[in-house]
Amino acid sequence: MKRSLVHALVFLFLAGGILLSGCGGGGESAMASIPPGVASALAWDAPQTYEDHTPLDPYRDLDCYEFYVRNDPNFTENDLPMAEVAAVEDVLSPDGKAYLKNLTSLFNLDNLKPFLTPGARYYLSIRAVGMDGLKSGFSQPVSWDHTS
Amino acid sequence: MRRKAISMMFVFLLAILATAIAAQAETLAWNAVTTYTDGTSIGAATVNYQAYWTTNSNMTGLTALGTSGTALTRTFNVDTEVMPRGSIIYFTVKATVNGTDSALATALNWTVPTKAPSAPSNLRMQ
Repeated sequence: MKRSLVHALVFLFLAGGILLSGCGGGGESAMASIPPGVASALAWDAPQTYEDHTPLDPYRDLDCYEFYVRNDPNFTENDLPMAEVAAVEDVLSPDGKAYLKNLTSLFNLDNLKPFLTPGARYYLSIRAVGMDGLKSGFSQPVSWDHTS
Repeated sequence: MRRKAISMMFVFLLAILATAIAAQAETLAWNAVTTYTDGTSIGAATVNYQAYWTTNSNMTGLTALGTSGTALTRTFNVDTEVMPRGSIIYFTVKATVNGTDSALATALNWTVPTKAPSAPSNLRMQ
């Protein structure tokens, strides 16, 4: 049931052309802020372990990611996600004959803009959700100056 | 030669050995068997123990936990044993002395712990 919801959300994102693909490199960004109007996507690295440090295969063991937005960086268990995307997406192979599994690692911030106030500073954090529904802790938040 | 049934007066203790590396280990422990069912002492005879687990509360479909031996503990890994996370499973132990098996110890039920993923890292704007 939940996976259906996730898949529906991803479909909507894809249909609207607002879910970017690919995986960026990048440096550390704990609470990093880039100039207003420049940021267009949120990127992250998939977890490779469970909280008990045992190995995790993100292709097999992750269900989705949840996106959280606040006006401050103090995320709590009472916060509700503003968006959700599948942890693994199917992308068409170069020859167009098959689908390949691709880890979702980028989220277009345009998805959030309709629900936020332009000109305000927001803090974003994400959580990974395992196949059994258990959620990770919050990622280190990043700040985002939402222009328009 | 007289053979006696073995009295299995187990007291189970299930301890989690927290580890910060690799696989998390769990340990099943029990008290030693010291008497036969008629109350006489086993004495210096060697007692071997075999631990089992099952998902069935009626203790059918037992799966051996490790191999038989004289130790009073069995350390295991939930994932290696393919135990169903989030579900209740049942442990029991059988003692053997000079080829005679005891009855199964009173079952210990245990909820196999679930585990959450670590948080995504390197969250950044692009």
